[in-house]
Amino acid sequence: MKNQSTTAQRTVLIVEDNSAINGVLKTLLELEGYRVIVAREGREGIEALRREPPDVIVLDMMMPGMNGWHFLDYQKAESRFAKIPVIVISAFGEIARSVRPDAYLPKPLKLELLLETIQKLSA
Amino acid sequence: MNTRPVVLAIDDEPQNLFMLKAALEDCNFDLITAGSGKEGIEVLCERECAAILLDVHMPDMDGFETALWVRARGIHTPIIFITAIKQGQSYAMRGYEAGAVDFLFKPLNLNILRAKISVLVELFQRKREVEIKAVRNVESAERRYRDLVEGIPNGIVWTSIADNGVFNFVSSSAQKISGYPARDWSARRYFLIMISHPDDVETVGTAIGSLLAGAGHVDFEHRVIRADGTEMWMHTTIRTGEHRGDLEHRGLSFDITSLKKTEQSLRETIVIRDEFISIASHELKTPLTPLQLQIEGFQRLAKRGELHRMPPETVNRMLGVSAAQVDLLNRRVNQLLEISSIKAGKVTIEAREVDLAALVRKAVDLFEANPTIKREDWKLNLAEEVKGHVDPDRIEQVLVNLIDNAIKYGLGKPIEITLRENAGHAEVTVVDRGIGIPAEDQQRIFKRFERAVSPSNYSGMGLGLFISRQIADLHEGIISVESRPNEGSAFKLSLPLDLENVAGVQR
Repeated sequence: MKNQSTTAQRTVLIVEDNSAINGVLKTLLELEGYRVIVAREGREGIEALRREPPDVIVLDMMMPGMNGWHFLDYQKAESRFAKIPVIVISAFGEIARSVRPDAYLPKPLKLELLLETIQKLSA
Repeated sequence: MNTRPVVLAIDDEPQNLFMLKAALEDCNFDLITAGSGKEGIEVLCERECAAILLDVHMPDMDGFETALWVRARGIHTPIIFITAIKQGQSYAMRGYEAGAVDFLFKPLNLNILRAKISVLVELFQRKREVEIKAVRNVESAERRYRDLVEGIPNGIVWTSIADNGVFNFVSSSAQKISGYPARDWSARRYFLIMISHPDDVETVGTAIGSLLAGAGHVDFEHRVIRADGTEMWMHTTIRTGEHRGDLEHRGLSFDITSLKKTEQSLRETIVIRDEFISIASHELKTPLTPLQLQIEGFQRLAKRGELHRMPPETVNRMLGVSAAQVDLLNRRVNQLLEISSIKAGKVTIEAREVDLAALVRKAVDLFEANPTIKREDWKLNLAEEVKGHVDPDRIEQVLVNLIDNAIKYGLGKPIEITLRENAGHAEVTVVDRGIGIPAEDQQRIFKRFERAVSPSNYSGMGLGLFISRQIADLHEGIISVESRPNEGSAFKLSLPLDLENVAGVQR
């Protein structure tokens, strides 16, 4: 909630090409007091990582430009970003689990579950 | 066979032979004569006789001795001994032991002579007929068997010697099917291994190995490289048998190439279908995500009585997103339903006069809020007063598909839409400056479930262009594409203007 002032404000990086999904996520997460950065594909996501490493990453797999697999290859290989927890969101359960993310949430997303997961992983 | 049977008379007395000749002149056999046992045996070695009349008393080699020699040569012609004197029983026994079937005593009763010989000739002829019939049966069985073997249109029947793998029979279809003439098959050892595909040599070799190790029969599938270098699939069955004391392998190799192709394409169809179901479910779930999130977001705020924290413009924007997602979901469900209607041939069009420029503008307006393309990057070049006779909903659907693709693959660059009249046709062209389509994919993309890009980068069910082409077909129109990778694509929809006169449209 808004009075999370005791701890520093947490930053969430959303890498998701679907503008309806990333728009709604941004609005709702901001209402919960997070700082939200949106990237529309992998390359933008990497630029965002470099500018300011977030506390948690919400990652879609299937995107034009650089997809989720390539984004993860980079993120896991770069030691200063490798420890940032990743929540993969995808309608393809099998694909998402195969990349062994810190958490996998199937689409359609449940908001309560997403908020819980973000909170747990960014604590 | 109409050669007359032959009876041989052996006697050292020319008068006796003359008398026999005269007595048997009018019978249904020929009598040939020999003056001694030795001469008689020579005759018997050359030709088969129905009976032998053999004089017992002859100088040098008597009748009994002659008979023993005849039997010793494996000749079983019945012998009638002719003797002058009635002797004792032991004498007759000697004759029977030497192979006599009967005795005639001098002076000869010619009627009895003729009767006895006739019986033997009759027996001989019967026996010969039976033999001829048997030979004919074997010949006809063999011919039947050969006809069967040669009549197999897509199979090669063969036998090879087990010890050395040399083919000793190959049906004539071998040449037609494999391209290698029969002499090639028999020229080298294990020819079937030699012409098998390198990757299948082990399969064939192992099978033949297990035959040699005692397996009664093997069967396996393998590829064969034909004489012309093309590849074929064969199903080969081999049994072990015996032929003239040698073990032989008897094989039947069937050409199953077309079966394999069918199997392959069925398997591909199943893979494509499975992929499609997976992609379709993804595409249906994706629009549900923002809807679900928003509903939960509103519920969360409402539960705490904090709905007022959501600014009105945010509420407005979120509802706009919801409406768009519902719309998208609706479109995708319709696409799925349409696919099954198209498959069942149930799609119809209701044509009426339509202002095509207005229809294009209406389709473009649906993308007004799309964040990927800026308002000033739409380049519309629409001829006015082009009235098409079309089903407006269907054609709008095609236009929306084409524009949707242009945005999706257009890299955010300007999109140009042209409408013009050309040779009795209305032509709408949608041009983007995006990723383009390689030449080899340009026809494939119009097929069901097909797309030129990987689903891990681009969403969509791969149905848009398939449905669009079907709709164009129903209007007797054409959708075509011109494209170069990295330069962009131009999709052209061409519709005949006087569709009213096109047969079979008002369905």
